[in-house]
Amino acid sequence: MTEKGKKLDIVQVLLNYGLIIALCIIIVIVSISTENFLTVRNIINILRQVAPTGIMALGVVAVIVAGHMDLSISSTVTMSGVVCVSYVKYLQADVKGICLALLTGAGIGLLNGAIIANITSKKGRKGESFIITYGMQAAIAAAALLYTNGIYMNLQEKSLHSFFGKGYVPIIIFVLTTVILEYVMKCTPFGQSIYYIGSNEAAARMSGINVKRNTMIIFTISGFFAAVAGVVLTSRVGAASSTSGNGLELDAIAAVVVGGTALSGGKGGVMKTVLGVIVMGVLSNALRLLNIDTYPQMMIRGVIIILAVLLDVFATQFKAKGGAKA
Amino acid sequence: MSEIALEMRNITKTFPGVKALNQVCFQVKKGEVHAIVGENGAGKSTLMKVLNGVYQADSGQIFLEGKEVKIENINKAQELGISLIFQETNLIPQLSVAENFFLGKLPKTKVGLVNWKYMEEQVTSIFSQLNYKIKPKEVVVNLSAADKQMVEIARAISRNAKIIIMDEPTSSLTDVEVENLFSIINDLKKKGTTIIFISHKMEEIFTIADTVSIQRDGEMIHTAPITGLTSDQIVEWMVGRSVDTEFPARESKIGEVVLEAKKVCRKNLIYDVDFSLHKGEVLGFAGLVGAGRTELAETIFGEGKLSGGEIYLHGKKVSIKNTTQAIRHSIGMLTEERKETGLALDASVKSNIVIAKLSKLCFGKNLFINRKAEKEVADQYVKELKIKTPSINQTAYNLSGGNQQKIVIAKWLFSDADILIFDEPTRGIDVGAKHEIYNIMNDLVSKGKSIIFISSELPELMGMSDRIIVMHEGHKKGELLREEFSSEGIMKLAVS
Amino acid sequence: MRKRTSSTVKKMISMILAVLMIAGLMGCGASPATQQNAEEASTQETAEPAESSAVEESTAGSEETSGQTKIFFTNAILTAPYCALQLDAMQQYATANNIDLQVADGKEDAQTQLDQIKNAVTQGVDGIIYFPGDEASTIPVVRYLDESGVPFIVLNSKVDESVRDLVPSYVGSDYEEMGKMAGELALDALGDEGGNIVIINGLSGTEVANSTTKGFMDVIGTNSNIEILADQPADWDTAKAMTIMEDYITTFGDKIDLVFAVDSGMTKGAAQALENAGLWGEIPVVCSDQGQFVLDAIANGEMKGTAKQDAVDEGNLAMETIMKLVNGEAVETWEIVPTEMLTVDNIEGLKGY
Repeated sequence: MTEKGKKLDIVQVLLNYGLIIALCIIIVIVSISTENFLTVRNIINILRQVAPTGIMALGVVAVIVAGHMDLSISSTVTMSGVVCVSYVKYLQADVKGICLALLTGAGIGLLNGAIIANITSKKGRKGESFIITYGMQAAIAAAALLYTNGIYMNLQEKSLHSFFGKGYVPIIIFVLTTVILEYVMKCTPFGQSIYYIGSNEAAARMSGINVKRNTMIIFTISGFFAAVAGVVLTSRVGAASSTSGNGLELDAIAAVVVGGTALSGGKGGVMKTVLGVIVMGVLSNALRLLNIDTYPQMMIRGVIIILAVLLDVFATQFKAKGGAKA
Repeated sequence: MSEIALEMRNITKTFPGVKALNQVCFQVKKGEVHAIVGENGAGKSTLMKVLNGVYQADSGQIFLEGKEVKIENINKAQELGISLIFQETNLIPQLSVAENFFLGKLPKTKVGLVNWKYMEEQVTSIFSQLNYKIKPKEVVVNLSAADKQMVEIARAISRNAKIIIMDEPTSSLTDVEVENLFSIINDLKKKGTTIIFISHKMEEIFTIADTVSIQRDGEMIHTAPITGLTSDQIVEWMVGRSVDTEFPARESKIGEVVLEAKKVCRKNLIYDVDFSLHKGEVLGFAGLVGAGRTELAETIFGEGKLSGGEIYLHGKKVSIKNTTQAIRHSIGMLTEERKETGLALDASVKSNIVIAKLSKLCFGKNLFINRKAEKEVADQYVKELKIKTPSINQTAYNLSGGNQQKIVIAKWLFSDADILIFDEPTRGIDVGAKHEIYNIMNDLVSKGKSIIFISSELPELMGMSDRIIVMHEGHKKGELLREEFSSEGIMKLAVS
Repeated sequence: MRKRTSSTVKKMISMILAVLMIAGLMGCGASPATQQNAEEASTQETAEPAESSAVEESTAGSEETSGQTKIFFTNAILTAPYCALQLDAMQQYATANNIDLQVADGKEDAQTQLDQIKNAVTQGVDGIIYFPGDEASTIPVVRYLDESGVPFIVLNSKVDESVRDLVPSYVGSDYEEMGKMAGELALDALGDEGGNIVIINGLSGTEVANSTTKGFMDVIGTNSNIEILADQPADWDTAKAMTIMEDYITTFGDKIDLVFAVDSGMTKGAAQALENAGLWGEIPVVCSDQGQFVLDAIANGEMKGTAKQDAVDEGNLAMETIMKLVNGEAVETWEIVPTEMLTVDNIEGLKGY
């Protein structure tokens, strides 16, 4: 019994810290096979590269913990990006552009939230957020195209806006958003209520939580964070177009899930997501540094995502078994 | 009669961290109805799952009619003539009765097509044996709970089951249906089928069982013929200590009116209901399913929309639009469906206790949850309400029904509710825990809180309430004082 | 209590209104981007009169639309800048020539495009312009078009080789030729002693990426001193291209002598990464299309040149070709959109995307 118990402990540790262990293994392998991987410059590079997706992932993790989904964040990144850059490029109004971009993002999120909260208040329609935000994604993508008329907006001059993508600034913004969200999710009654809504929305409502209002707020947070990501991304790249956010929503959601947040809601968290973002970023960087061909690269990334999710599922099951009663 | 149909010898089954069955020995005579009782978590279901091949015992032997058998899986159990009928039926809702009968081994005609005719004939003949009418072509989803139960039993018979295990078969049946089921059990008994009957309800056991076995904490405590036993004795064995099956007496002073409902209406559900609730009072609500008791309670709690009438709290008219506002008015509601709306099963005991009033735990204005205070509060309620849990961080899922219910009560105590609505608080929990809940209710009213108590079990409603209001299809049909309580009186109002 | 909730609701409503106002502003064309577009449009002399006459014509003709030629256009993806610019040109052409041009967004999905085309054929159109989403899944679409008997052309991207014979006319750039021009620019920049090249490619498996790369490789293959260090796809995305360039710099450092980015957006990404590393202007970058960024860079002297690929030319050629086909005139099986080497000397007045 005791020996068995010990063995269980080891398995538990392996499962619990599997992702960190996997990260370490990737780091060791890559730093042996390429010389420039474990350099300060490359590490800073990775952090800078993951910052926009990371900020998006932080926004969407709040939504996922509440048991919902937000696919519209990619279009929100695009929209806020083009709004911001258009003001910077044509009117040299950086502050106004950035503020409007953030407001646009929060507004799109609020619109999502308002629609979804009023639907899910009717019993058993929780899955709708997937399709509604998918629709919003398409609608906002089209709005971004109308807004830009398809023009690729390239920024040449240095300005206040370009500051947000330079040097350590994207990393600092990523860290700041992490800290703020971690505080909100872990330390405030609002954050706790989000976890509870994700676990059982009906019970949350019957416990006096204002489910409608809180659902609206988290979608607004998600939209706002996507807008921050949009500003950082356009500043980093120095350009914006009506396609600049395309596909990023799945990168962000993949990072959330790889980090160990369950799509079913109620479990997961901010720090786990940051870990997921870093694992995905390091992996992509490593594959490029190793100069692996495209198709094997895609395959490796796919396999790692699946393995990470399986690992989390096993860890949860294992824990449940360990504590189960007859 | 005295032939042994089944013997289980020294069965032990361990799950990580828990010994679910410990050296259990168990004998069942051929053709008897053998009841197994025990609190939730006593190991009844585990034992039956071992017998049915769902679980494999770590050690021990199983004998059928004197021969040792190994039951590796459910199919093997079926081959040996053992059928288990679960609480929730195991039928596939979208298929017909006949298809469910022959699931997995549909009879074929010579050319290899499904032999529908043969299937229907078989099903009809079995139901005629049972004197029960169900069309073989009927789709299961359209059947009542009782019909489904009967299909399961008929299916077990069609598979030549020698031993039928019924796990709380009456939990979703009406009284008439229960009587019907019992007469079928008696018929089966006469034909030599052995029945193992798991139930929480003492009256049923005394009506139907020949022998009773009592299980507690994974061990078989006692097996004896039912004649000569009393319900008190059985309960004592179940909980391992003497339990008063009478309703505990309480000392409480009934004070002024705290809640008054005047001509309360909810569209298509509640019509012009008046009532008042006093300080220190338990106000019972009786009625059949669909009488509108839950809907009325929800309306007061802000979950349903008040379409007419007024609600007064402490003499002042209030408008409660949602549950958040209800809690601000110090109202709490323990809901009928504990697992769906009472608590979040995969959240911890701790967060389930504090969720309704997190603001009470905060530094500043909702800025920071004081984790230390949260832990202290949870620990305090776990101790006060005797919630059995390894830790306050355990998920509620792993707790028994009674302990889950106590968590819900703790939530409302923590929220400072003075008016508590208890909607079927003892449903699906075992005898010992029921009594603990009665005691908690008494304790609460003696502290000056008021309780609206909705229950479908008349004995507990009459035992616990100071007054009872009877409802029927959304209307209030009558109000009885304690001296006027009688089952007949209440039922008469409830069906009128 | 009641007051408090209603005030939060009010706050939310006002926020939603604010959002709608922003949306409204965009719709009214008050956005800086569209203002700029309007200015650009008004500087073009031909656009003004053509448009106003077209408006008159279309209002006059709207009572009897049956007289108009109906052309159905299914686009691979309308949200790409190149396509938007092209569509603009095609719509101008249509209004100027009294053509009823119906447009559908194929969303890069062959099934969607097939459904759209079937609908159009059922409703009865005179000609169809098909801009394929991806090469591999074009077969059923072309088969259907061929069987329908409606005159059609394929625009911009080639269809699968097995059905190419069924296509009456393909209007598109010769990407291989354009790749060759980028190759020549690379040869020029590196000189006889050659050097190391890194490639930032388009979406793997697309005809554009494949043909452009082939043309480029054919030309640089003439100098045996040139080596390709790495070739990774950035899927036409600026941010991805920037990330890949950053990682190229990490891996190869000063071994890189030249960068080839297949399109202009990706060139911008590479440029941004190089600029951050202080290498923009040090390491030459070549490109093979006519994006606005590249045009600007050529004008500033930061880049030497690129291949001409004019969205407006292509759109106009598509309209001309389909009209010829509808009217029974002869067309080439490949109507090549003319390309040429663009340098600082001949980029004046060209529109990028």
